[in-house]
Amino acid sequence: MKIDLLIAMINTATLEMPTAPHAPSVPFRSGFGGFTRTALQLGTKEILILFRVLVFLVIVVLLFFNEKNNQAIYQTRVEIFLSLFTCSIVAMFFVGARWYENKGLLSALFVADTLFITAGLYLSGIRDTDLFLIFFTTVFISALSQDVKSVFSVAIVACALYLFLQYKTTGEFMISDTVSLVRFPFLFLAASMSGFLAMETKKNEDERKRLEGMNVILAGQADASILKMTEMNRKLKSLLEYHHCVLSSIKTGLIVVQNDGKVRTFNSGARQITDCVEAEMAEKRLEEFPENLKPVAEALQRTLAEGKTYVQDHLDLKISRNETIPVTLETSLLKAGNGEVVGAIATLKDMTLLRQMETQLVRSERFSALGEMAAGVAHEIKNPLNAIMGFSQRLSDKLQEPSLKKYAEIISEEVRRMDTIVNDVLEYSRPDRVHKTPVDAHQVLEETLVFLNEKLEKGGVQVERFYAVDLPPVAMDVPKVRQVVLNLVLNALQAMPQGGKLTLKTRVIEGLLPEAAEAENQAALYERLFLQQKVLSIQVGDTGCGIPKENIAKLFHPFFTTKITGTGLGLSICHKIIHSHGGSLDVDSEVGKGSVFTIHLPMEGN
Amino acid sequence: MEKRPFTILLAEDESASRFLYTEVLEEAGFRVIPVENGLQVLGTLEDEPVDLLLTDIKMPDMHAMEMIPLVRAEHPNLPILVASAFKGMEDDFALKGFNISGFFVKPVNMEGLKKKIGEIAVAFAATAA
Repeated sequence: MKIDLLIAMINTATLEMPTAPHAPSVPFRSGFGGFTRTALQLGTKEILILFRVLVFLVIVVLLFFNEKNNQAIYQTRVEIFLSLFTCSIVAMFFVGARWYENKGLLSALFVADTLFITAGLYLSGIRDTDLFLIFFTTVFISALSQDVKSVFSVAIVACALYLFLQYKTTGEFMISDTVSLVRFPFLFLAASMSGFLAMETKKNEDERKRLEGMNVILAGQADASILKMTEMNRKLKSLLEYHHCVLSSIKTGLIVVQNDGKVRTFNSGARQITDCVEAEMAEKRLEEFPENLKPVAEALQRTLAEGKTYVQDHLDLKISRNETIPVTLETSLLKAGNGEVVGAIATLKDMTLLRQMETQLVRSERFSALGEMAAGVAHEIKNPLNAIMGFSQRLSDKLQEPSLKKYAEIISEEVRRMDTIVNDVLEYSRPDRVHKTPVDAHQVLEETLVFLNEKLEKGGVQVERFYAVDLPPVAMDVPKVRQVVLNLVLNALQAMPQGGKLTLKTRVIEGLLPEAAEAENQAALYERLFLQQKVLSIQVGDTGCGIPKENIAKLFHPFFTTKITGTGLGLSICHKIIHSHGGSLDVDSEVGKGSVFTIHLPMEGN
Repeated sequence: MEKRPFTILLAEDESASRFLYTEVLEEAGFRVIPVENGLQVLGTLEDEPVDLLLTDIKMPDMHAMEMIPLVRAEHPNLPILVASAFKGMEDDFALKGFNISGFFVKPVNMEGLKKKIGEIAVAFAATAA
């Protein structure tokens, strides 16, 4: 409503002000109709002085060039009169302009002028001629005061003085004289007309001044309003753009529905999480939500109905036929500025990354606690093993009876097996000590493969290599990484008892966008990508039996094994080694198709 | 003057292991002084001439890390062998600059131990002569 008013005001102002508001003001008129004061740049003072000078000149002409003039008689008086008149004109120069705006002073001046003219006429000896007309000029000039009263007073004084002149000349008041009878009404007619004109002019002028003032105010207001509106427009536009950017940039999915259950906002974050297209969701009602978004629709419905906020921390949102992602769903009421409920908002946060990190954290914590315990236990076992091993060896050395000798050897053998297990536990629980040296990662892989060549060939396993080109040296603890690769390749071999394909793949991951990182293991890369570090990815893939989903989570747990002879520490040691390199070890597997283990190693110095 | 046999001071808190080392090493012709803890090690070193110290790491009163500096203060050139259940500890001893002659991981390979001590004894005899 305010804006409408503003526009109306601006329209009015614009229509009424075809000329620029700051251009010179409309010509300012004086008491004389048509006399443009501004055009001549003359003030009341200047006009009056000019007028008096003219009157002075007329009187001088009358006094010196009139044939009827009787100079001899009035010589002294004429001189005094002219001196006085000249003095008064000169004096006028020194009177400040603002005094000429004073009506009383102006009236006095006009009366004085009338007296001067009368005196001039009297002294010139021309009293009953048409020079009477000069009185008209005083009447007109008096209209400068823009006041009827002063005009009329001047007219009355002029009439009186004229009568006095007549009396002085003829010795009688010639009121009955037709000429005089005509002259008086004319004088008054002129007085009233000029007075009326003066008043009209004054009125017009006042009105103009008022309008002008209003124009200036309106122009100022209009300018300010236009500026304000332009500014508001600009702000509004940038605010809208800003909001749009915020909505489309946040990763959080945002779904806003109106009170009637229609979708009002469905941002790109929501699209990325739910796999539903914005355009399809626009204006959709809660009941029409796609099947996978039913939990969201229900929560929104409940919030709209009950006015409460709902949080579902562990919601698995189906995004395809056999894929779900963990999300946190939160719904709340959408309220207008006045507190009125206008709809409801649902936010969806993709928790995949967080869940992965949580899992890793839990795993690491469990590992370190277990590691400490294992180290203690292993140490305690090692001491008795030392004695058992030593004495069993001594027994087998000293015993002559073959069967007894064999028993002692079995004891030694079993103790050795126990020692291997304990060593694994100790290896796993040992404080991380990594001595990194920059090496060619491919060389490390090849050295490990050489060691396994025989087994690979015997097992009917083909090796395929997909190595990165121009791979720079990567800092790593060579024996430890070799141990990891060995472990992974051995696992792959065991997963393919009937033979198969072993794939070794290396590549450098660098400056990935978050979207691209989703395809990789986000949790592992998260930190590195934030630091814009390069990461070397080494993948060991097999075409073996694969790992059931329920086992994948436990895969890196110490002592978890599906093998008859395994200690269940191999992969957890690998995990630990890679972890102590600042990297990560992850697995992707499908039962019946195979598994891919991925090592991520940070490439330092990049 | 009768030739003094090569004397080994053995520090091991586990009695079974202590008995094992003593048997094996005495059989190999060395003189063995078995003790149970760090204080006994320091005491014996004051009283008797010792040619080699074979010690466990974790003992009830003292860790080898604490004990060895005390031994080194008086006997800077005494050969010391360390036997431990922890594989990685040898790095620690090396880093500390203890001048360790050998490191054995439990269960100790007795043949290896005998061989190592034999080498040290031969070197010792050569120096003495």
